[in-house]
Amino acid sequence: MPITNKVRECRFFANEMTQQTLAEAVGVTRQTIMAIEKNKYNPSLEVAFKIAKLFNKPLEEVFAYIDEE
Amino acid sequence: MNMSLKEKSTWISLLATIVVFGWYAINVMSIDMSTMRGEHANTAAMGYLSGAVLYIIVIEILFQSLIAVAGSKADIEGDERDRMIALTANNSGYWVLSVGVIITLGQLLLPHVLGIESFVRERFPLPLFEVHVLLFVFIMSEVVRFTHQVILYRKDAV
Repeated sequence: MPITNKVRECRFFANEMTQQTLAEAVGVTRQTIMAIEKNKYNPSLEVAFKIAKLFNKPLEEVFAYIDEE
Repeated sequence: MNMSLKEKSTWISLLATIVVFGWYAINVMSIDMSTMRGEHANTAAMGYLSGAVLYIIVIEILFQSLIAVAGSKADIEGDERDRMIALTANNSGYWVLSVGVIITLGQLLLPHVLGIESFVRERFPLPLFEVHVLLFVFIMSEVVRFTHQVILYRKDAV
């Protein structure tokens, strides 16, 4: 997938926040957080912004678009 | 296995559909049309169909309630990934349903146009033949829909 993320890393530096806590905070299931961390699922813009906001980071610091060309 | 509530719910629907309508198909196909008169065969088939519908309702209510008890409100409602998986799988189910309906229409019209109705009835001696073709198409589309959903959940991707 051309979009990668540092959600796992952000969780680690946020006092090792659990996937469940993050999931509840942004309104998705824990399985969705797992899929995002494994780069198997691209969240909607709304969820991406919520995740970035939760970690007090700009969106592009958590999610990055890699141009495959 | 790490499954969300929606995935468990999909597995239950898939298994219930296969088991109940598999049971129904076996029973209907075992009706001997050579010994049973048409009206009696239709009544027997309708009896099995009523039973299958009743079983599927009871199984779905019972098992879906059981898994819902363990989940939170958010888990029961699902999230954006659940909705995207459901939509993608719905497309597959709808495609099967559309093709099936077109084939059913062809099956209803072509033997009549070609004048081979009696040949078709001899080859497929099922009570309420047209109803069963449509029912088969519907069940197939449901099975495809649930299977595609399960595959997408297992692949962790949409």
